[in-house]
Amino acid sequence: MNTTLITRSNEGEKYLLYAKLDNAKILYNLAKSVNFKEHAVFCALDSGLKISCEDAKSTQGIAFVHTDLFQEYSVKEDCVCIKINLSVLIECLNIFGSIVNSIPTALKICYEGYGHPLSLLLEDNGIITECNIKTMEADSLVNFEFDFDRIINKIIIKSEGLKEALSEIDVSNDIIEIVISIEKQFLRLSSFGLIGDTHIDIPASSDYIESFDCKKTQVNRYKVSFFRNSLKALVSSSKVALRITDSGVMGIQFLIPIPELSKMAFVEFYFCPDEEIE
Amino acid sequence: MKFGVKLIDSSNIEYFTQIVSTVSKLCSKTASDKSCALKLTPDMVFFILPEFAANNLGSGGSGRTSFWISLDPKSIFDFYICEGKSMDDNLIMLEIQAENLLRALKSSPNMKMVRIKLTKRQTPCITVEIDLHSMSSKTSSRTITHDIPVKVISSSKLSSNDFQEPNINMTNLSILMPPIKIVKHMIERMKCLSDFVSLEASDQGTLTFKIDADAVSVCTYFRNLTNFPIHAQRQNACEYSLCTVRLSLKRLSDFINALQFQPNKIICNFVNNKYAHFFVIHNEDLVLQYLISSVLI
Repeated sequence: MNTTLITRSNEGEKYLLYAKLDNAKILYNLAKSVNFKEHAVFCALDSGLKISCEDAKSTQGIAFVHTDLFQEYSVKEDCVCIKINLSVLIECLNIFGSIVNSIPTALKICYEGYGHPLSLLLEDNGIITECNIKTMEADSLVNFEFDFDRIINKIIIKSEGLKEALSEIDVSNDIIEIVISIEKQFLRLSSFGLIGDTHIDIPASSDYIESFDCKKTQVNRYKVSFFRNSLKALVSSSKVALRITDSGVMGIQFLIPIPELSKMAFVEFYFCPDEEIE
Repeated sequence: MKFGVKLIDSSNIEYFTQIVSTVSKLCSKTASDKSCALKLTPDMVFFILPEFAANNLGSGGSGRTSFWISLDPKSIFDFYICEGKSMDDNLIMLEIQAENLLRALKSSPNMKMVRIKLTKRQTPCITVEIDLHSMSSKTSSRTITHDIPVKVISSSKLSSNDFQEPNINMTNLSILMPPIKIVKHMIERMKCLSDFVSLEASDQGTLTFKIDADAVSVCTYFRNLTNFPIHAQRQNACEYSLCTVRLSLKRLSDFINALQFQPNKIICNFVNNKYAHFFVIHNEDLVLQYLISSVLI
């Protein structure tokens, strides 16, 4: 069955990146979850594929497809990075759609190197589609300096809980305030709208909260649009980890179950606070 | 001139509604004034949109399209009668807004019987009378009448070339299309990526859809499709082993999305680099012919 070894097939020999996925939907769903901008940086690492999407150097969404989700995966260099039109990639991955109760669409990804297109080969029931996506040079991505040593607060919450809380947020204002309180032992999401203020309190003792690791009370405000970018990932996830550093930088990690393979994938979002309030 | 139709069976009512819905959608996308011709003969019923009426230059126009639908009234209607002006001229030709006919057929649920006939109110009309099932045993059933104005196209004004069935003399290659569900989905995705698609068919049963856009080029290969032989006795006939047409994805998508019934099969006749002639066949009772012309690069 699947192993975490990086396998090299004879066919893959001439490619810088060669990967095979029995079910194209897996990559389709993960790519869609970070498609809040048209273009993305597509990186092939030893450990798997990383799709990074960035908006105005202020927020980043990263989908990670680990090698053990692939049937075959080989990359010849340490890190092969290209910029592609992510919306186009997603349309191509969905070319056959999903017909329930049938064998899933198989996918082969090939990349020869600089100047060559990113090739996708999809097969469904004898029908073959070949896509050649033009590539560009990868822009450098913002380094959020998300220092894992400087995480002050970390909360693991069940996705339904966060979904419910975010749906109550008043959209008339574009700011959301997140309070994690050590004294009151809760996570509070607040919005300040035209009709009034909305506060949603989730106590640490709530069934939704799996872990509440608070070192210091923090109050931070973030743009609601940054949370909205991550809604697709939230909807397909089972659990969410909210991590905030001492400078208020938010790192959200979504755990996405892949039932077809009984495995997990991760999608992360990073963004800075709007104003700092101590 | 006399014309009468009765629809009693609910599945017949539904099927005829689907057909009119298809005509209405095709008209709205191709005819500038959303009307088409309705030709009634004792044996057949036709909905026709001739090429000259479908010159759609205004809306992103690339290529002219036209359609020809023939229906077998004996299997679609529960009762049908048609008499023209005289024995030699035994047909009725009308210009109709299919949308109006559709609105009448969809006006109410619980239809018990639909009667359609030609009448003369202020102007010639197609009158649709719908008997509804009564809501309770106490109230008697109600009848709703719709009068749809139509124009009668006098046969003296028609030349022998008008409203003729599209000919297949120019066909170079004929192939059965792959399952419509797959093609429909694929065309929708391709529409997001490009404006035009090249269809390449071979006499070995292969059909390829190719798009070439700035950001991406996509090719979908279908194999093991059935080719149909073309009669080689005709003057202009030339059987090709490979045929290509370049079609507007919007036109192709509008055509496929207009189909409101489930066809048994769709055959495509290719005229190399000129046009694609589609035959949509449903059971033995309906044939829809639709032409999309090829666009040069």
